[in-house]
Amino acid sequence: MNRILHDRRRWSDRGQIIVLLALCLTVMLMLFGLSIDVGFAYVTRAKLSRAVDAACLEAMKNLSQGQAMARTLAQNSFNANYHASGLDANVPALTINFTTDAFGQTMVTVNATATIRTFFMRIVPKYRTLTVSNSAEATRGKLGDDFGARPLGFDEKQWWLHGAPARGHHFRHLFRQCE
Amino acid sequence: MERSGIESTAASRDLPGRARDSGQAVLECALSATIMLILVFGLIDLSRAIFVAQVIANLAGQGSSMASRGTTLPNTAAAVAASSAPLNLNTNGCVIVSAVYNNNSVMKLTAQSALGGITALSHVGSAIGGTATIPSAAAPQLNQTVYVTEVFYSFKAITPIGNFLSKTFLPKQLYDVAYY
Repeated sequence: MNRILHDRRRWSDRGQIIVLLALCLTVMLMLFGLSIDVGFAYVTRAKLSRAVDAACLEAMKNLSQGQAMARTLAQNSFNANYHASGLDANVPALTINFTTDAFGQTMVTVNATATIRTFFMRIVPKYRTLTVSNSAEATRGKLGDDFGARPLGFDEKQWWLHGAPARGHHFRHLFRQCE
Repeated sequence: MERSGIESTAASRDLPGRARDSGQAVLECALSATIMLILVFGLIDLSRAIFVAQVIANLAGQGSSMASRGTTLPNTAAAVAASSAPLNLNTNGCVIVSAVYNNNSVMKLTAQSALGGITALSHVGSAIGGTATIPSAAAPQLNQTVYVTEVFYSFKAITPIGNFLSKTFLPKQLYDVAYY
């Protein structure tokens, strides 16, 4: 009787590791996939950030040629700096707006949104794609302020960008180095 | 005493079965550990490559941004290399900053500065005064200059699976470029 029970217990143990392995692998693959897909999202954000900065500067640099021309050139600059890859589910959406700030200066705002495909997270239907956005803003430095005091007209040193606070600070820091 | 004898007899009868199962746990452990290690090692190097790609994307953008604001090209290259931590462009990478001028619709390479620990050839061109190769979308307007920052990084895998991936899937040299 003991032997029968012992054998049955052994039979019931068989295949247990397969179930455990399958469970562990599923959980681990989901975590690995999360890290890979989020990693690619961060790379996309870095590219997007660079592309909107370039587009913003380009628009501001060529504002004298008219807003339509500045917009076209900014779009070109964005395309050159955002290297679309197989990750992209579609062409990034880019919006370029020209507004006037409190000092009457034209301000350029560039927003871009990219949608990337996921590799592993797509097993969850909601995360078949991830959306990454970024924006940049450029304006002329006002004469007499910390950044724009240049009596002989405006040059490229007088553009400054601000987007997210940290980034804006960084650009200002770079700007001071240039001065 | 008698009971012990019965157990002993039962155990001896079980021996052939136990012998059949012996090593099963080791085999299962080896199998699952192999799969896990392949995944973990692959993940480590793939994540490192993704990280490097992200850092050099930022470096390229910041380099061009600095150059377009008036920083000299050698200073820009030095600043990019200096701020590349935790990557080390001075030993495993290279940064090339170029100025491309639109001279009557001909793109001319007017200046270039390179810094880094590996030899890399600029995709823009290397002859100062010669024609520069840049994408049409990045071409500057007439009499304008576009600043190009190229960052090369020699990616070295640190795991055996990463080494295998380097031969098949992962690039040995990562590259990024920005045009401002």
